[in-house]
Amino acid sequence: MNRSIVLVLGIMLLVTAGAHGQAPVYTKPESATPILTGFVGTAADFQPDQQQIRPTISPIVLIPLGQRWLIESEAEFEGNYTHQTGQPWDHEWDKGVEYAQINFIANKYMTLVGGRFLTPFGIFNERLHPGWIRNLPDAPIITDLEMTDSNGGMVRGAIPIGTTLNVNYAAFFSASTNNSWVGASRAAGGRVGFFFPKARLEIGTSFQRKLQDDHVNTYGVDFIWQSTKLPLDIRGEIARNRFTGSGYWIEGAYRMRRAPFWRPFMRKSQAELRFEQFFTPTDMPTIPIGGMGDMPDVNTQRFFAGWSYWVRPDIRANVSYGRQFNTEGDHNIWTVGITYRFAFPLAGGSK
Amino acid sequence: MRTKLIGIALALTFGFVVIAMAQSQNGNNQAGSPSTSASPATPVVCGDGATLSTPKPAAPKPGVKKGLTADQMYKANCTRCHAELPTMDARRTATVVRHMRVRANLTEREAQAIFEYLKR
Repeated sequence: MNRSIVLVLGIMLLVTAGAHGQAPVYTKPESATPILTGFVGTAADFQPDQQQIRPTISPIVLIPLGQRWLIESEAEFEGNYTHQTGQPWDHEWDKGVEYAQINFIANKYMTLVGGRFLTPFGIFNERLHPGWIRNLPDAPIITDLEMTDSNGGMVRGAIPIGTTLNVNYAAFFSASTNNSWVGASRAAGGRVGFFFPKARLEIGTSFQRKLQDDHVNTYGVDFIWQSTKLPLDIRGEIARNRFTGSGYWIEGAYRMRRAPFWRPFMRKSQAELRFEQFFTPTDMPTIPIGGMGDMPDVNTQRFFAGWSYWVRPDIRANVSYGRQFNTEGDHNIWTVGITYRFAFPLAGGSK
Repeated sequence: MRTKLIGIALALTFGFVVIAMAQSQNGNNQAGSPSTSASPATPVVCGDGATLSTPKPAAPKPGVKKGLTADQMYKANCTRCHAELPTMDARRTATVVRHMRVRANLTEREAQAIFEYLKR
């Protein structure tokens, strides 16, 4: 394992050195400053015979160095206060490092990443998972299929092809780490995305192979489309893993700023809908190490309808109603939540 | 059942692709239109009512490939994930744009244009 890490780091160093030699000249240096950003928030779930309150604190530190380096790190502290009918409140806190990575923008088309990073699989994990970005408080079921964090190295970037297409890519290798704060599996994989800026459409495909235990592959397809006619976003993801299950989610969000009534309220509001299905594996030889996570052990369908309201651009309140259908019994899921996103400079003035 | 549902999901995806391609083509066919948006002069409205005005685009030079304006790049790249973006000063914006260049795989040109757009 150590040999693999040394090999990956060696390759990264060589590529870095090579890229440095043909580095582009930046004519407009950015006066970037270190910042402390992130969000705090809480969500409360109400299901039959069970209530949960989930406070979350997620600080992010961004430290730019020179014109091409960026050190970034996010820690996440998520509480889970649960009450079941007839029992006292129980609680636990999950603590972990979401990412702690150093990025080197080697050239126009390539960035090298080392450290702990969000696994580039699909769109939810890397781009949409923070509480202040996601449309609905509950994550789709299939996100548990995907390995969320990796420790190792990654190469990524975007290549414009004419003015109508950007091809973006990310390839990673992760080493096995058995630690409650920075745990990860030994795995490799990546994602390739095709982004049509004029159509505001991106379609991506992802792959990852676990290189330990059951050595299983996970495949994914994702898309995001934003209408140029209406304030409407539609996104979705499909993932398949032979041993842990498969499924998809599709979600739409409509900004209400064009509504002709209650304008002060509606222009800060957004309506959201999501439908998802999860299918249990048909050929699971053994229960995966670590169990099935939060995934249901029977085929499940869920839909959610939500409403978000921005008190300010950095404070969002939301409420959602969902219903889950499976053979263990259908039930409702009500959720209310609020998030505050902050960004403070850690050095320098405000200009 | 599973195959059927995944087939429906793929068909929906394909449908969106076709619609999006058609919209893109339609936008390109509007001669001289620098914006593919239905309302090119529509300002970006922030949640507190503040607006970021859309710059008046210069007429494209003959023979030069038409790309997206900074406003269009901002909308195409940022607002598809971020329904609201708090405004910041230029130095914090520079840091956040560098972060997003890596996270969202922005091209160098997109990152520079979005930074210039946001810091105004």
